[in-house]
Amino acid sequence: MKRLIGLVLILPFFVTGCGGNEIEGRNFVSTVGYDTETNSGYKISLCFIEPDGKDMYSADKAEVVSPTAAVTDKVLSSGKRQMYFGHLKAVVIGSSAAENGSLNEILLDLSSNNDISMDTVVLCSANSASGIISTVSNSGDGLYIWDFYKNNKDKLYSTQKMTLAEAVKKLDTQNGIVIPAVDADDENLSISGGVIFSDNIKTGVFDNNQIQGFIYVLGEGKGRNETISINSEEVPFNIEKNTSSVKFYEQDGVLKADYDISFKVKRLDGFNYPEEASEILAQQIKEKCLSAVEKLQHLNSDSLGIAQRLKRQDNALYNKFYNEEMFKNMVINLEINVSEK
Amino acid sequence: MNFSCNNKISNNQLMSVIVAAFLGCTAVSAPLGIIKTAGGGAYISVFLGGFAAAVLFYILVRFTGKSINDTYENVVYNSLGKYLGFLVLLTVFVYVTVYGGFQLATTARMVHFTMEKSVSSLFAALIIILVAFYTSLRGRECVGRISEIAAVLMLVFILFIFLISAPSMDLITLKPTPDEWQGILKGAFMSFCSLSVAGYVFIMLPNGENTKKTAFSVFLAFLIITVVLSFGTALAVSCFGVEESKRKLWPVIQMMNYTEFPGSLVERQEVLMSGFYVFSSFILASLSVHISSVIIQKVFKNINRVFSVFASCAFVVFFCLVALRKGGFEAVYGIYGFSLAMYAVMLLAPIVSLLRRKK
Repeated sequence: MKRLIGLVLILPFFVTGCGGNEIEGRNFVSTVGYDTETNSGYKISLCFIEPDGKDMYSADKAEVVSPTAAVTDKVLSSGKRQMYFGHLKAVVIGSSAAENGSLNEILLDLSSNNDISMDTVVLCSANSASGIISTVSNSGDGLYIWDFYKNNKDKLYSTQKMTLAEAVKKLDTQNGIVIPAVDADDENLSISGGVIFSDNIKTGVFDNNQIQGFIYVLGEGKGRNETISINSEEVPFNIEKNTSSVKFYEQDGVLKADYDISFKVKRLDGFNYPEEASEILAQQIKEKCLSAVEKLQHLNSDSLGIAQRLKRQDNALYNKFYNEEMFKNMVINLEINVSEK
Repeated sequence: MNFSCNNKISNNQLMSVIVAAFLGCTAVSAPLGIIKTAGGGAYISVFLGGFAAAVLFYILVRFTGKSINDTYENVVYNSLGKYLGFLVLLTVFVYVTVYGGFQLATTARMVHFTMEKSVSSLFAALIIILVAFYTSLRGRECVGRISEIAAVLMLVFILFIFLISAPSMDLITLKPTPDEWQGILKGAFMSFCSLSVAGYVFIMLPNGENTKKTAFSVFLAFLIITVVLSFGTALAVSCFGVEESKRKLWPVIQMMNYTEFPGSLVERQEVLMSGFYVFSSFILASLSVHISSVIIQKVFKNINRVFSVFASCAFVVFFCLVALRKGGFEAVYGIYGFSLAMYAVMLLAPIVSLLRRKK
């Protein structure tokens, strides 16, 4: 019996998989970028961390041309080193891939890979993804995008964090999606604005004001600061609560949606707030929200998930009005309520 | 408590055994099929089916429990006689080894994919079965005591994850549309089948006098599994959406991996989560080996205990290999009909025993 107990205790040590690749034998991919190449599929750019470099956190870059968007260590291995995707933090979709309708394929291939976390951040570039990856790998430890979201968790202003899980879910249920935009020069990265997709193809972009309005319509503005300008002086409000609800109804044969968007805001110390500050703030927010919604309707990109909401909230109305142009043709009214704490 | 006897368990231990053994394996194998059938309302299916199974088990244990005043295998032989009794026990043996083997295959695949790819599924299965060999050799009380630890650990951890995830739930996705209700009812039947484990429950009954308390323990165990599984399914669908949940191999477990721990406390969360399910698999494998070895000993009276446990392990591993060849999940779904038939098989002996008493 003692031998048996000994055997039971010893054998599990063989389940550790220590016979596999050691840490020094792996490249830890932190960011992946996708561009499309004419006739040859995808140009996949990788920013990866080499654990045995001079500096523990030195980053490098590699590029591979592949007929599919799937990233596997076999496709991407460089020399004896295995590319390890278990610590992937961000995916960047280049403009070429965004414009020719590859978004769905790229995200589905990534989400089907068991190594890749569904918490991976998804971004889209107005230029090539390869350029973004070069800047990320030159910016030190190769984790700039991850650090940006980690350090600004509740303080994002002109962008939002979109995970792979959220992006895939939206692609499955909506005919439109807004992916946060990333831009770069040789040294600096800028994460702000958004890229609008309609039916899996890039159709437009949001500027900073529009993406803020879009975030408010979704009711995800909590923690952000909204600054108004009065008499050439800027005064900020901190948004402590942002909720959004929508009611659908039919009027004169037209489908209408009334959005009720509420904010609870707080004034910050050290600023002079005039009496009408709240009204000005509400007006500014309304303009941003209207601008975002009008742009989405113009591009027929249902990034607000209105069709999905209507289907679940009022199935009869959905069955009556649903067609490819429903979002574009419906009337959307916005009611903004701002209250101060 | 039954500290002096290795062959008896208390009502609390019975509850822990059921929770620890079946929460893990049903969380791995059941939700995917139910989401495919029921869509966004899968969590309703899980709850309806699970609750029906819990109520059914309560009624069955309550009204047949009094006839099981000895171990179940003795009741079978005493009430049904040698030949029919042998047939019933043989059916239970096949069910338990097939179910245990198929679930072992599912867990082994999960270990292979999530923990370390260089560990083959078969090797992971062999390690689990080896520990099951030792546990079942020590009697059912050993399984009961380990389960008490496992059940508490699993539930506390899962509850913590649920508390973190619940505030961000997408309630719109979870609201079923009228055309989804037919699928939800079909899914409820699948959920009911996945928790129809009569082959295990009746043999593990503590054979005490207080059948009301035993029945309540069984009911509570299935209710806990149902609530956890239903909430987990709702969170998975809310987190990934219906279509992506269908594409995931283990939507509930993968949802738990996605949940962000406060303060980035855990780096490879999926390994921690899988660890709990592997723990559950250890309990289920031990239970399967223990029950089948008890049947072997009953049928072949003079057989050595170690040999009977060893033979049981061999059978469980054999069916695990069959399931690994077939793909795992598909195999588990394939035995739902068998699981339902087990209600009738398991009830035969207690009913005959009760009828004889009345005469």
